[in-house]
Amino acid sequence: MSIDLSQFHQVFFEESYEGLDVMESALLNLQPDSVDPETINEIFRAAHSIKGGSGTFGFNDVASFTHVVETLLDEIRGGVRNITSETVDLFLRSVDCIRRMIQQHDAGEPCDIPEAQELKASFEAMLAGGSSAPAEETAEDDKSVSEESSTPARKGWKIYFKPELDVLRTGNDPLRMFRELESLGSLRVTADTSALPLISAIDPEACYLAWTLELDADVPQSDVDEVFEWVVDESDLKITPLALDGGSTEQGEPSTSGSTPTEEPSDDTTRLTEGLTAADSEQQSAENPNSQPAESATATEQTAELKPAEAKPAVAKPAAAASKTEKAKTEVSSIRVGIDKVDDLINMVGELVITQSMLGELGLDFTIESLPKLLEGIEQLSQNTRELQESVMRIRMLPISFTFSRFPRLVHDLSRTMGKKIELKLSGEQTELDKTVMEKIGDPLVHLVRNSLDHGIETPEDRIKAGKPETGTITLNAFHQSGNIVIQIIDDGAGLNKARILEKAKQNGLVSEGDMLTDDQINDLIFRPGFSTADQISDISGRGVGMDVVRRNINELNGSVEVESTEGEGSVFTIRLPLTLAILDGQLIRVGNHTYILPLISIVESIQSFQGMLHRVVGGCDLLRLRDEYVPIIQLASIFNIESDAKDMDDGLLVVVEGDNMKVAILIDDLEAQQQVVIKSLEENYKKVDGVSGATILGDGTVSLILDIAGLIKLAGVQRYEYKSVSGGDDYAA
Amino acid sequence: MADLVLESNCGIAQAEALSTQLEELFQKSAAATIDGSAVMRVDTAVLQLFASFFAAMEQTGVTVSWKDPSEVLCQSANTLGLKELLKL
Repeated sequence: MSIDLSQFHQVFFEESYEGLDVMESALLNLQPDSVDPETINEIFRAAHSIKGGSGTFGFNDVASFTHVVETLLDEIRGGVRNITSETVDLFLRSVDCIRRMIQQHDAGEPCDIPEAQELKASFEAMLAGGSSAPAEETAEDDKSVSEESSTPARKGWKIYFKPELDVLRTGNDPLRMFRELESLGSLRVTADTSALPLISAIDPEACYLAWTLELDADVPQSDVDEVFEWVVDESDLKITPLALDGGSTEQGEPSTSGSTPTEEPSDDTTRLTEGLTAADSEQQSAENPNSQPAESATATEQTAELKPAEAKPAVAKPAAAASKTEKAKTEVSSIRVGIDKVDDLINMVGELVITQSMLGELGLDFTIESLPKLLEGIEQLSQNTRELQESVMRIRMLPISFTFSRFPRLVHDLSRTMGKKIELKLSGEQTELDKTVMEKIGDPLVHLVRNSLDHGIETPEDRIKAGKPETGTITLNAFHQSGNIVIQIIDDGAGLNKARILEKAKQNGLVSEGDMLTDDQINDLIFRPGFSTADQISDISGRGVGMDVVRRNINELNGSVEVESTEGEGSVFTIRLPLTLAILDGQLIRVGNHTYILPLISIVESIQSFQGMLHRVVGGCDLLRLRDEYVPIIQLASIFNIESDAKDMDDGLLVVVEGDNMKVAILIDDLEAQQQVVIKSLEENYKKVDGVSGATILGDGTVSLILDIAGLIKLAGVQRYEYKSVSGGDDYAA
Repeated sequence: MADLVLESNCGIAQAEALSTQLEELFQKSAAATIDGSAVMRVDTAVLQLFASFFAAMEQTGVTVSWKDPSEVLCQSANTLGLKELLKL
């Protein structure tokens, strides 16, 4: 029986992504001046897991690449090598590279990343004692150097291996490892039985033996390391190159696993030839997943009775091929959930079953006297359902740190590129948000942070001139407010230059000469599409570049974005989002025989009596003069071509709502209940309908459409700024 | 008839039981024969047990011999560097 390892690939990919995030985050926290050993250990552990997993599943390119990263880390944590900012950058690039390799495997595509070879060569050059400035060297140069360094002068390795007592219990069998070594070349094994107890005192599952092995094989050390990769942390392992005379080397200290031999071959030609041979061997190894050790206890049992050549898992290659076809069929997204959330869910389901059982018994012998009990049961059912819904929703909730975690790297890289000094502060990282919303908010957030970094924060020189500290600060803050999540991007940069924004808007025809805009309205201009196509960042602060897309993306999530800014002091971008896209707090409204749902979050107020506040406009929307602004009126009956009860506008009711950053008043017949509704996608179940964001099924079984305010505004042909420039008179008409 | 007949599967799962049998043989302090002809699978845990057993028997000067040890048994002992000690 063989195990189809491809079933575990997705878990491996997800764990690897998490491991890479850990590596990246820890690397960004590394201070070369004062290295915290635990940080190095954290990075090492993540790299080690990725290497082990990728080797097990046959992703040999990842295993081989990660191996050199791990080796360098091992030297750093062993105090053999100091860490520099150059090394950190190299590690960060390697994290990117591993991530791309895994992404390609994850997508079932052939892994082809040219940078991987170059980076690997750089690592190997560093390990060989070269400089940590790989950029100047060509990939070919690096490759030859690295290959020389990873090949012993005499073709073989001496290995001292003393596993810990528990090694056999964990399914790691030295016999199988040695068979792997035998498959690489000629192996001489000497067992040290000095610690072996008498048969009467022995623990049959403990390992008391130690071994010295001499492997005559023209293979790089990485091949030997791979054999021991799962036990390296649980054993005393020393791997040294065999000396030229065929005996063990006497030069230098034996290296621990993962380190590279330091002895210099005497002849350049030999070195090059051996390097190339080693490269071939390594490539063969990489191409042949069978050279990877199977590590599970089950795999050990399955293969132990076979000869060495047969004893290797043959499942890796077919598994990889199968993975590709399966990938094409289904794109599986998964979520890691805390066990407490699952426990809550199980408790709730238990409660529900009890209630259902109670109602079932009641139904068997129902009399009118049982009515109070039935009502009580229904009330209990309602309570259970609500709690179950909340528990289910909690499962989809993840801390926003998943999204925030990408920003330290972004800020680190961009600030270096732009020669700025920027400190990133994160707060509210544990604030939870629905996974779907989180996935979609990532890109808009990146855009806003980039803008703050690029156009908000000044250069150190400018900041000093302005009397500010030379290091600017960008703060990402998340918190819950009124059933929504609020994310703020705050910078202490130059702020928006309102005069220049206004001037630019006038040039582009977005604002008329006589318009009197408030500060907020001026700031809001940066989200206009016209701004992104103009002179871009040359004249204005550049905040407008792509901001229309940011707002559109956020609006699509039923959210909003706004900006507050003080010149010279900085800006605050505030994003408000619903906690989930699956359930909506809705206000039911009625127009004729139809019931629609307005998102509660978008409602500003409702006005029943608005006589004297109406202004009729020829050829445009009617307007409601609401205090100091004119609000366009949208008649749902006319837009959806349905019959309304109200014969005259005054008979209806106006609900003032906000969407797409403007207010409109929707004329309806009546307001009904407020309730949470489960959103069903119209696009998936029917087709996209303008002005409607989704649908739901009401208690009476009828389908009700959920209105999309931004879409309605578009359908009604309302222009955003024509009605906002109130300057005292009635010059509101378009 | 050998004093101990090994089954085809001699893995770590069988080590506890085998350990008891070997200890009993050791307590007898009599020459022993082990039939290893059926062994198709053996691992380090079991070979280590035999190593302990053979060492203990040798210390007490009692002879242990194999009866038709299988190829797998011999090769595995060799791979672990225990061939001499186990007289395989």
